[in-house]
Amino acid sequence: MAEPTGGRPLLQVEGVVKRFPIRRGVLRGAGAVHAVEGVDLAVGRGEVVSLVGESGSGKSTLGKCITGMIRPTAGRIHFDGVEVSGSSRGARGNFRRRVQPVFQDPRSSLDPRWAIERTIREPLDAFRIGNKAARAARVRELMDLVGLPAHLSQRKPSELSGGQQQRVAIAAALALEPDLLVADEPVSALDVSVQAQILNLLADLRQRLGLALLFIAHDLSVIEHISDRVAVMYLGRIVESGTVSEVFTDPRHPYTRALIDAIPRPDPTQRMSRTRLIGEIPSPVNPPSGCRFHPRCPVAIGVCSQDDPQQTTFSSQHRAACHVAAAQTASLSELPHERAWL
Amino acid sequence: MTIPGLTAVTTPWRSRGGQVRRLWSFNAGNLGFIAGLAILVIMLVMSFVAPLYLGSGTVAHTSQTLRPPSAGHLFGTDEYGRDIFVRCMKAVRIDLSLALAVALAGLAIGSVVGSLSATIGGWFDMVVMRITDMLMAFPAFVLALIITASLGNSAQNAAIGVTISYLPQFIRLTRSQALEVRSTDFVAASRVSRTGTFLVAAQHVLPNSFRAPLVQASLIAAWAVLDIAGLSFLGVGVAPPTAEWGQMIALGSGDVLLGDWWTALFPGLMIVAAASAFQLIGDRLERIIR
Repeated sequence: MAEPTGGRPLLQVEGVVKRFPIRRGVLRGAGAVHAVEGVDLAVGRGEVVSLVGESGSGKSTLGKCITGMIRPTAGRIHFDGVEVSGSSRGARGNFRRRVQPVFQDPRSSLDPRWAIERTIREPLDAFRIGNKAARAARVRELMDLVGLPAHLSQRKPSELSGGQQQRVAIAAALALEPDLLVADEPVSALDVSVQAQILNLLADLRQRLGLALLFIAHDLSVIEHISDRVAVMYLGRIVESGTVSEVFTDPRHPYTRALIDAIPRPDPTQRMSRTRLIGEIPSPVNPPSGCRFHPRCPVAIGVCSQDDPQQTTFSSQHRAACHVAAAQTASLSELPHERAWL
Repeated sequence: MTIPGLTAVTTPWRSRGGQVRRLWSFNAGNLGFIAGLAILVIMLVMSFVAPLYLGSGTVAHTSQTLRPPSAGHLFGTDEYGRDIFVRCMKAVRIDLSLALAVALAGLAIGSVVGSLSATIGGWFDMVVMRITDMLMAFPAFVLALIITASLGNSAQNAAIGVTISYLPQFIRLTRSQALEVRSTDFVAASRVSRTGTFLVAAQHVLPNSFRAPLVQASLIAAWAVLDIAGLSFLGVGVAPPTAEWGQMIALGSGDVLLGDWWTALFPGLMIVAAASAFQLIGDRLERIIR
């Protein structure tokens, strides 16, 4: 379980499960896609938490559960102390304002027919905030906030660059002054040069607005500089979580190690010993027995294929679900970390 | 640089600036569109001009029955001595307006129902789809015939019957487009955190899935010309003495056996011309949005 530092968290996710029943094809009725399998996660006020994992790990599904786009099969989601996962649409009203999504591809998250001014204004119109003049002023303010020049306000999305489009999407998400943005891969559709700009914008907005951010990504290098805490997902489970420095400098789960080793380091003198992952993520319809990672794990031992590992606490924030890592802390904690993997 | 094969990748919700302008340029690909439009414009102009100079075509002249085409009567006269050319031209207004009414009503109702069906989903979508399945089980013309006959023979009821027989096509088409639009993130964002289902359907889904049904409407107009004429031919559409092509063919069909070919031929040619005109326009529109 990942917990923020001190106080009641803004967002508290407890044991959330999302399964998609299989309705089509020869497998009809034969099971379900286990997209998210019992995830605990918390995001504090003004905190940036990153959720990482490869495609199919369930990170986007979890994000959709949190923004209310889909309803979890089981588990609870509390926002600011109020349960929002099962409540009716009306009761969600206030919550919907306070949690806003930012999507991966800005070309599909903006209506191509609308001028960007109208897209940014849409949430204000929907919640009938202020009069016409006040909304127009707010739109100008938001455009300024995300660094969009005012003369672009009547442009269509197709007339803007990818980075500008993503700024529009962020401005629209900010219109209702949310407390939490759930950003699902907000930079992976952008050019590398633009990625940094958008990341800086998000970091800047967090500073200025006290915004909390749940940042979903598959690329660890992207989140290293923006996050306070990191949670690593694999096949619907959080396998490791902790502060950025803990997870990046002292990864305990072999999957996290493999992800970190996959970050390209522009330093030819660095030692080239890497944990490499072989193969694909297994099918979430029939997840492997025991530890879900064991078929691909370079250090798997006998127990891994039988028992599902529990979360082991390594420090106040740092936890991982791994039999091998748990055994090491129990008996071999004095061994140098690097050696332990050989 | 264009890569062949990649250029064909399209998404229905992208805006495509400049495509409407392409309709107004004269080039080989556009000839059909211009021709179709020209046919309709000429027909409409003639429908107003011809009666001014050549008489109303409603008065019987017993001395001039069944005259073959000549300089005085371009298309000849019918068994009551009425000028067939004038009657063909007067029929333009009622035939084209019924065909357009069918296309527009089908478009309006079908696209609203189709996009709502896709946006709401669930049981609503189920019910709508089963109803369209039911309607599609009948051949369109037979269905139109049944509906018109049970509503009572009139031009208006013929239009209603034909519209209903084509509704499933509009609903299905809009729904399939809307399903694609619905899966986009701007709909997800609007839906979850901003607006209600009906507003989402009206503001995002419908306008972004409107292109294909619009093209479909002009193709349906071509079929509607045939169906309206067909119903009137069978006596359940436009009633005499109003001039209408299908009904004129019905009146003249007996004459053909006696060698008086012109009474049925010219209204038939008018139907072919009008249907082809809509088809040509629709073909071009279809190629542009593809």
